[in-house]
Amino acid sequence: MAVFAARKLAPPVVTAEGKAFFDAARQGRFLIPVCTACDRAHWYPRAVCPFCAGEDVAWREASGKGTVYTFSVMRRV
Amino acid sequence: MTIKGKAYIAGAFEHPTRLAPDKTVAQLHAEVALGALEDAGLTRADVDGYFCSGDAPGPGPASMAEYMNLKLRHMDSTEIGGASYIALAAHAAEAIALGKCDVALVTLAGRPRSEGMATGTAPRPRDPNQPEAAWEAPYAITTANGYAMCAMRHMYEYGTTSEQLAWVKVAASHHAQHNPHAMLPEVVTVEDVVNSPMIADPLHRLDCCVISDGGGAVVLVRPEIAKTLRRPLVKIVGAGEAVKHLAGGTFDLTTSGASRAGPIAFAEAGVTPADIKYASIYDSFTITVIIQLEDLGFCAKGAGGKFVADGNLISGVGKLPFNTDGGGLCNNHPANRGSMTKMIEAVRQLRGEAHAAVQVKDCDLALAQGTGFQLATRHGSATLIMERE
Repeated sequence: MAVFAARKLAPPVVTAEGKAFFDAARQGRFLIPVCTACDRAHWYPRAVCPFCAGEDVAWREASGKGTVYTFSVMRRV
Repeated sequence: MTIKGKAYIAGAFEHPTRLAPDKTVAQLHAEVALGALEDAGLTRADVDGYFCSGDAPGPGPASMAEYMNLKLRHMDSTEIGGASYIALAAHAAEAIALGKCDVALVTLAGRPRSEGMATGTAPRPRDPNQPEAAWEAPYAITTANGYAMCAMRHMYEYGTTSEQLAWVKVAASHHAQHNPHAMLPEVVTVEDVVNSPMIADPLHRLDCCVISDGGGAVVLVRPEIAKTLRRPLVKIVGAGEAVKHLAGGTFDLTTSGASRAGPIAFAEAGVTPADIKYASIYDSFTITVIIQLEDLGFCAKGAGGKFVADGNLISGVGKLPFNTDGGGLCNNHPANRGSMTKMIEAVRQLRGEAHAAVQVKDCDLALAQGTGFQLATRHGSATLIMERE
């Protein structure tokens, strides 16, 4: 069993586009941005929808379920 | 409008240093510039176009133009990481084709080794204004981590193995043994690679490129000028470039920007992957080579592991000789950027000036491929096809 050193992560830089996400995260809620025009979710969150360029992006609470796509553990630093 | 046949690489020079604690970055840029101009039989006074990227000290081309005292009428400082120099050579060919300059100088230099930079294993600082910074920087992704995640997914989807990845390094080491400047000239085996320490699963230490100081430069000129010079004629016949990113979250990490840059270059050149006699493929990690070979069409997507196995990339042994200078995996990786040295070795091959032990016979068509920044998130890609006349 590998032993992982605890690492200190820097706090995120909270910008105007990300404030609602981090406010909700602080309350334990995971929000994802969904465009009100095309109804598609995107990541990372932005004020302009990357799919249809709609400028009215709303926040929706995520189910919290997902599939791991890939991963890698840093063994040597 | 095409750049096919409109510009020639008349000069190419790779700095012999791999460790330069007593030189400045500006000095290295100037030394490679002078080396490439001398190789071409030209002087600083002939240069009217200058092309550099993020490694050049100072904002854009201004500081280096002043340091070298160049008088310019055209310049470009495109920044797509390590892919920049192939893109800049293509931009230089475009400028020459349009009559914006006659003699274009492209330089790269850096000293990450002297500066003690943990290139691949420490998070890189980011501008907080980068829109993705808030969402990625806290997790402290490293360069090795990102490329490793691409390798992990490639293994999952296509059954690619660590042994297949290792063959890329084995082939590079077979070439590096003939390069007196190579940082790692020892021939290694598949077992050596898979038994080397794990850096970021599934990439072992020998799946990773070296960290070196150094640099390189190329000089591109109009056809009329190339024909007055003494050097063999190496003509640009096609180029392509792309930026690949996470596209709002709809991505495939087993594919790189080469899947778009490559076909553009092949279409402009009017050739196919089967016509290429030698390929320089950017090799930050072994997986980088496999993914780009697939994307360029040298084999089907997912078949890259099988393609590189059993020495298929070794000059004189396999079907596609690659990185005959030893590449980034064994030779050097100046400024943590690979596409300049990729271009230079392709020029050597086309001129018949590669080391005799690795020179490809009748090498009249070569490709150079670069990738810059992070394969797992957003990266630049550039492809260049060159022909010996």
